[in-house]
Amino acid sequence: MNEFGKRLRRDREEAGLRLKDLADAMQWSVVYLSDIERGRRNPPLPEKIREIYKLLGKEPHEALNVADVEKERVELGLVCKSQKITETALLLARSWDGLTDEEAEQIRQILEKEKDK
Amino acid sequence: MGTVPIVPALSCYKIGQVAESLIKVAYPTLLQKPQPFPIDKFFEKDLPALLGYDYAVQELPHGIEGATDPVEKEVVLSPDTYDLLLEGNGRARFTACHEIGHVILHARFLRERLLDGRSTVKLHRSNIPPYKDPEYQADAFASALLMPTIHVQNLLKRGVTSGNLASIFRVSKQAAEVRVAKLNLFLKIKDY
Repeated sequence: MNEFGKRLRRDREEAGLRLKDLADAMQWSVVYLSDIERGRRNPPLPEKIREIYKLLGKEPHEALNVADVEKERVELGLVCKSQKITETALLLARSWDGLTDEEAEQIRQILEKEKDK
Repeated sequence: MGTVPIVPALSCYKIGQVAESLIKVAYPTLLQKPQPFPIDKFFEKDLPALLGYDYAVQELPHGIEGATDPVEKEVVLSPDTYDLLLEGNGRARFTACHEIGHVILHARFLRERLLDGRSTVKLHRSNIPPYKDPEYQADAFASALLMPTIHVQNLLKRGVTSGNLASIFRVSKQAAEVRVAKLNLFLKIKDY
């Protein structure tokens, strides 16, 4: 079992749903959901994770983070408020591996302020 | 027919006691009044909490309804068996209990040997006495878990038929018939 699978199983059980309940609600087969929980398949797409957590009545953020770490990549939605923001997101995605710790910290501080708004 | 490992000998009486101990821990009220063992709930809730085993649903080879993996510590049901289990189907309920029997009676024995690289003697079932056959033992466990000895004995004394037992405990008629036949045999031996 991987971390995402463990988290999903725990959150599903806490919400009182059986495998079949959640699989039916997501229009998935029980085998597919069981495989995700056992770590035999990659975590689903972010929009599906959001849908699951909406059904479970829980915040999806931690599950999304765990899924990204598991997949060793981040998926960005590119429907942004402006073209400039979209370009910045793409630029960041292309170049973040080359950032120094200081530069990463400066960006982090800006983004933390955005998160707190 | 495939081969199975020979496991330590266990009597049906002892297996019945083990099943009763599990009921006492998981659902003690079931011993007060004859009623169906909630194996569907046990599978997804109590199996991990009480026995430390995970549950899963996956496609299994044709004819296989369930499996227990002592190394991964996991009980797997086929999709059809899982669906039927949730519908309360007698055969699926028996299959799930049979796998719980493997977890309780055999998993530790087999896990230790597999992890240590020690081999187990495997033979065709026809060459193993029932009291050392893991499949026979797991069936006896499932039977006792679904139809506790104390209730079946009392009900039989009151003239209840195997058909009635099947509906009281939500098992197949065949499972109820086997339970009655074996219990009657045991009581005859005991009386003798």
